[in-house]
Amino acid sequence: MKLLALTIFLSTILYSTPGFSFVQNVTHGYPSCIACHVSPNGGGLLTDYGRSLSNELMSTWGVSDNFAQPFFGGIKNRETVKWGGDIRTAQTYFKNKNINEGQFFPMQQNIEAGIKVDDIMFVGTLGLQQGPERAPRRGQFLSERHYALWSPTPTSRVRVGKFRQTFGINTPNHTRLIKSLFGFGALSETYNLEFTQFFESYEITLGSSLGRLDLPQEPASDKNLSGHFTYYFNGNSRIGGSLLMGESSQKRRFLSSVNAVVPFGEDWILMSEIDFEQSFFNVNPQEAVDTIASFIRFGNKPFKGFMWYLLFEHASVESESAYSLTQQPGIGVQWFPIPHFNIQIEYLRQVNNTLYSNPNEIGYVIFHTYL
Amino acid sequence: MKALLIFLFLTNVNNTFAATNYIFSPEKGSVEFKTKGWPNLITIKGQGQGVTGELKEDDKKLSGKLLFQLDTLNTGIDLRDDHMKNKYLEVKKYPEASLTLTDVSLPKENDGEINFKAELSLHGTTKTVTGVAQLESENDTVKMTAEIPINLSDFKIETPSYKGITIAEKVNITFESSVIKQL
Repeated sequence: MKLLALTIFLSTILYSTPGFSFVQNVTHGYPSCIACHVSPNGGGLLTDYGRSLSNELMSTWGVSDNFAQPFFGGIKNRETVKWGGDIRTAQTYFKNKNINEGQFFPMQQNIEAGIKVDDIMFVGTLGLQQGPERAPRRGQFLSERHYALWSPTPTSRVRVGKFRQTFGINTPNHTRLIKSLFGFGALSETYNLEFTQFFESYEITLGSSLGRLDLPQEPASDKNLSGHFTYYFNGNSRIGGSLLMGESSQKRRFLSSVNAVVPFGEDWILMSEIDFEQSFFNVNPQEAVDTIASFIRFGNKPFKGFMWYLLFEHASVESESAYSLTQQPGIGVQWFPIPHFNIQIEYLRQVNNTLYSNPNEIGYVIFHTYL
Repeated sequence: MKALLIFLFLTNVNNTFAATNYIFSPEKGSVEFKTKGWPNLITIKGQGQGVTGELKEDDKKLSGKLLFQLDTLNTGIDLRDDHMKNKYLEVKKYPEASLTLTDVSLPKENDGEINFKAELSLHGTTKTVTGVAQLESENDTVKMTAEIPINLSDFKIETPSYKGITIAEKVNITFESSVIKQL
């Protein structure tokens, strides 16, 4: 059981490929992602404005405008061509009564480019799959995202290709239980069609996923329909809800979510999401499996570019024949000393109802450089 | 007795024609603007210190001039402040904005909402603007809040644009002050 927990932890933290959108920027008046990112649901390739904001708003020490350019000034973005990429390394830590293990390894190395032709931008990443030595497909070619993004009007987007589906809060950390338990965890980019319309105080996304067309044998990848709504208010807050109906070779599922990002005063930010999934597995289609997961993070910014936070995650899985409850309080810090570089340190104490006396101590340090 | 009558008469005349002055101090209020950035739907807010000046109430009519130091505006992002102040508002050339009110009718008991017209001078241009003000009187102080929508082009302010984000033409200005009444 403990080895399983370690494996799950490593499989999420080690291969996660967050797009690094920072939803907390909603508190600075940026409720939608497309101010800073090409992608309508955030992450990945930055707009020129996003690069500037990284320098001006997010980092403790600003640098020259040239340094904030792609590859630290090595390449200039043009109106029709944008560049980016991610290099991340991690030091992990996992301990319980049976295991005491730490690893240091590269997590992610890729470059990303977007080429605009008329109203369509073609975006793709090229890289190698990273992870610890025993990771499957390690060192093999990997394109996490490749999609075409059409902007029929300035406030609408149609996107088709491989990317992470829009669902729930746009937190970049896909190790969260609200992500990893519902198919939005590590390397969960799927082939999708999405339409997003932005209004003055809300946005709507409607989507359909065909799953992993590049890995058709992947059993957990479902075909689904989804809808997502986010309402902005006070110029610095947002609440949202998502619905998804999907079917894979293993199960049918109905997934719903509500989330919020709300500031308290100048320096405190609350982020929260709660998800509910009802699944019917093919092996026992009459029995519903109900999964509820929640995430709440309360962060404080003592100075520009630095945030410390407390968090609590919970997940319960319940069916007629089984019940499991996992709770994990934690604490972390995230620091952007200079633009396009950040360090995140987090510690979680994971307790499962079946093993109260042997909790998992989970920690990691991630170094991320955005090219 | 005669002296008393004269005294009472004079006191009554003085009350009948009494004017009240409302003194505005920058530390007892704030000025805020709010607008949208398009096409990416960002909200841009800026805040500065309160207005200074004096309004005079005479026969339930309010007149006077309020001044605001534009250099005190802060949007939370240094580069944006720099662009706003130096490129668009040109605060070195036009450091103040002023709002001149002439015979604005006050509500009964100086409490409630009023619609008003005023002359706003900004960026070297003066235009008539309309706004809505809310007054709350309590003893010797009056809390005044006012909202004035403006169009940047009316004041010959170029539409701000930066790296693909363009600011909406319409900007909402609000100010609030706790004002001391002086008889």
